[in-house]
Amino acid sequence: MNLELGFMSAKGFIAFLGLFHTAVASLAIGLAFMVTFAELVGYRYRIRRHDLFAKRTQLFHVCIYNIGTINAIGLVFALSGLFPQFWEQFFVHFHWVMIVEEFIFFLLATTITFHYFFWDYVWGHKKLHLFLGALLTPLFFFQFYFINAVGSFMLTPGNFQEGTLSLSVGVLGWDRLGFFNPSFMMLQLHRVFANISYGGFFIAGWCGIRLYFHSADPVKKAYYEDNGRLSFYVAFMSFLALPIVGFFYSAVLMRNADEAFWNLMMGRGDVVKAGIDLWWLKHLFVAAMVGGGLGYFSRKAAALASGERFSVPNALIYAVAVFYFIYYLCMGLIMTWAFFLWSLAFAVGGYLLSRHMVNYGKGSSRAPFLMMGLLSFGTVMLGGWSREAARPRFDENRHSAYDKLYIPAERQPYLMVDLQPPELTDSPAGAPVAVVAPPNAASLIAGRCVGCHDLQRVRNYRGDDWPKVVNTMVVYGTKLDEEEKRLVVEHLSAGLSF
Amino acid sequence: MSDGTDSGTATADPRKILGEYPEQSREIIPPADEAGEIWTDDIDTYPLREKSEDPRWAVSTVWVWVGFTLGCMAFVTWLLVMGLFHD
Repeated sequence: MNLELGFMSAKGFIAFLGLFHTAVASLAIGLAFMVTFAELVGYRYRIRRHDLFAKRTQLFHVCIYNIGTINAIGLVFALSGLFPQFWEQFFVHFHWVMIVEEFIFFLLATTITFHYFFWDYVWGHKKLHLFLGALLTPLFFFQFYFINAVGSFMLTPGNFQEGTLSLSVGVLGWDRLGFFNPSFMMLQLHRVFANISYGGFFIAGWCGIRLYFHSADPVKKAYYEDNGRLSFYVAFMSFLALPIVGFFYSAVLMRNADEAFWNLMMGRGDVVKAGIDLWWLKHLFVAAMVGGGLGYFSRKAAALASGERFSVPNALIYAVAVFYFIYYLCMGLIMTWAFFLWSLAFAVGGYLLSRHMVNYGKGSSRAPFLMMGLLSFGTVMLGGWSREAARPRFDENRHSAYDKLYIPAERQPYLMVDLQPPELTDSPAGAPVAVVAPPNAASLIAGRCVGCHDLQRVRNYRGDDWPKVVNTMVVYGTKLDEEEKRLVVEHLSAGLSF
Repeated sequence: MSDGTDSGTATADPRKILGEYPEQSREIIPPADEAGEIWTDDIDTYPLREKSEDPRWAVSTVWVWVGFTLGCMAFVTWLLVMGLFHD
């Protein structure tokens, strides 16, 4: 009996949960900054509508934080069942990191909740309340500092030293696997700015939608225009850092993770299997956003004359444009000029469309807000998918140790499982049975492999790439010197018993 | 902005027909078109007040949580810094 769901593979299911998590978690991080910023501006200039906006955004934040957390738990469950070997190694090696990560999740959830629900209780201690909210951004920074260490390790495996699992090294050492991984800091910085930008554009987009419904109410119209603009400005300024960080991120990947780099640059791996080059499409979205933002700010002089309070210095706006131009120029040099020219076309298109929208809406920002919110959401989704798909572990031809998994007996018999897979019931063709093995190799396998998993896992493995598997295990912490490794590989390759 | 009172007729109000809500609860239930909104009547006033007007339990709770969170962040930072020397 086969209960496999053909329309969704294990990878597809993980990708779906991962993308949903990206959409929600990135937004939560961006909103934490936006809430603090809006509340601070409201306090500084004594503008109630910014404070009200911050409070309503925080309510939304509380809701999506809960959704994101539950989704994350589901993701862990799914990975545990569908990629047990990968996940077990993940937890063994990043055990202490993940414990601290969970504790920071607890701090975050409680701080967000306290910040929202104590809002109206402590108006006399507004600075204290502001400080409480301001803790959210560094807490989020910590939280994805840890998860990015793990993420960067998965993107660029291999370039690290062996980790060990004692309290002093596991906790205090923080495992060189993650924190001294070459792509770690670039990934961290890129996410900091990208999430703030995403959160700001998302909320501006929401203000744009509300403006369509409240254009006749002057109080609400001013509320959404003002707060949408505030969010839009913060988001666009955060955009400034992305091409700079992105360039160095690409450079680090090129040096240390050429597989992932070329997967992205040339649209290989799962990126192409999806039928569309999503990473390129993501960059066209980004180009349209740059153009759209510039088009929006080109009406700045008229806007200031009409009394808008906040503005962005021209130098920063031009800097965004120049940096993005240089980035796309570099991408054109590395890949193909078609990429550069298409990006340029989308940027110009976004610029003209944004200007047209403002004029068509008689000065209202609702359409550009909405456009940028939608593009921002699309960018996060496309970028998140491409990043996941580019990881070597998700490509069968690259890190086969993760994909040629045995099906453990305790596996949940739903979603993707053939209940009686033939490879578990039949002996592999040509495999010798019950041959006496050299005692030292068998004892090595019996003694060292069980540190992380039982021997049945080794026996059930049906791949023939034992050198690669054993090397991977050594990287993950199995204690084998070169001679022992050779013996184990020979033993396993010969199909001898142990 | 509604003042929160029910101005509908008896036959038009399903809560009254069903009789599920006591009078006191009905007074604080906002009309459906305002549900989920956090608007105030006076959006132009920034409502700062004296510190002494805040409930002490609320201020104490926030202070305790801020202190606890700062301590935890310092501890995690210490772990990260110590990791440089113990790895």
